[in-house]
Amino acid sequence: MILIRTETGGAVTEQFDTSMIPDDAAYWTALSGRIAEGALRRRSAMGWLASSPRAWLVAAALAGAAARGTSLAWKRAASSAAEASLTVALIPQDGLARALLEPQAPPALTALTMAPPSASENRR
Amino acid sequence: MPRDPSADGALVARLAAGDDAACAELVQRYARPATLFAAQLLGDRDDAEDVVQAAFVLAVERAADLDSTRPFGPWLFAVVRRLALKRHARQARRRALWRRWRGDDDARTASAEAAVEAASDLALVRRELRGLAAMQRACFELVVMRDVAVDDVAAMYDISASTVRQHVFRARQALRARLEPLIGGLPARFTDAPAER
Repeated sequence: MILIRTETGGAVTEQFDTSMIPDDAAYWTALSGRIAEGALRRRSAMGWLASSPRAWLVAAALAGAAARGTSLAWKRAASSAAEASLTVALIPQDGLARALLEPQAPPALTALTMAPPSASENRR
Repeated sequence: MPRDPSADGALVARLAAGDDAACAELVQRYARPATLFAAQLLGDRDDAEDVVQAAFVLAVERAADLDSTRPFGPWLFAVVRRLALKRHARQARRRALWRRWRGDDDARTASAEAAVEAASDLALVRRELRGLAAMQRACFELVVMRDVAVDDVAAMYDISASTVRQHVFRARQALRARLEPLIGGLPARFTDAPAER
């Protein structure tokens, strides 16, 4: 077993044969092409970001838009939560007030005068 | 093919200056030994290719910081080793979890592979290689079977070139002794040592 010390102090105790790697020129040429292309593509992306003033503008605009979007979403969430808690606090607890707030039609007069007191009214 | 370290330095300097052709040339020089080394550490072709790709990406990113008076190979192999070990550790954890969940069927796979492989002299040598000490096996496979330069193998495993030669010599002796009763010795392509540079 090969023991190669790792950075964390552990060791690799496995070692494999290389039979899964073909050894023909076409394979190595294709692999080299892929590797070089990948490395250079990465460099061109990084280089564009690092050197172009336009890249900085685009990055700044994107960052600004993201920050604005986040802050709007946060504000919206905060205000809707406050609104919801206010609504809950202001909901009338007695039957008479609930009947008055009924949106479809005004309550019948008999219902208001003859209705039995609600549990909360009894408690008071 | 022997490499000129000063040519490496020139290529690294050109790479740092943004020369794409220098990158392609460095990859052309080192992709093969680096991929074989990564394959020895990882046992998987795709993983080995990914690690070598990542090592070259790092080389391109850090080209300006590389010392162009020193050979590029040892730096690259050290990066490949570090990346491969990280990946290996991650995969070992994943495999252990998978085995615990599914049950171990490695033994069945191994016996099927062995049956298919036993078909040729090369397969026989490979099978007997598995019985050797790990460093003998690694050095023999890279130097003799894959014709990788002794200096490169030394840099890969962070040992001296003479130690690599010693491992190869001992591996050859052990293999000869093991294969003698089976096929009358080591197949001719593995007996001579002209490739050991």
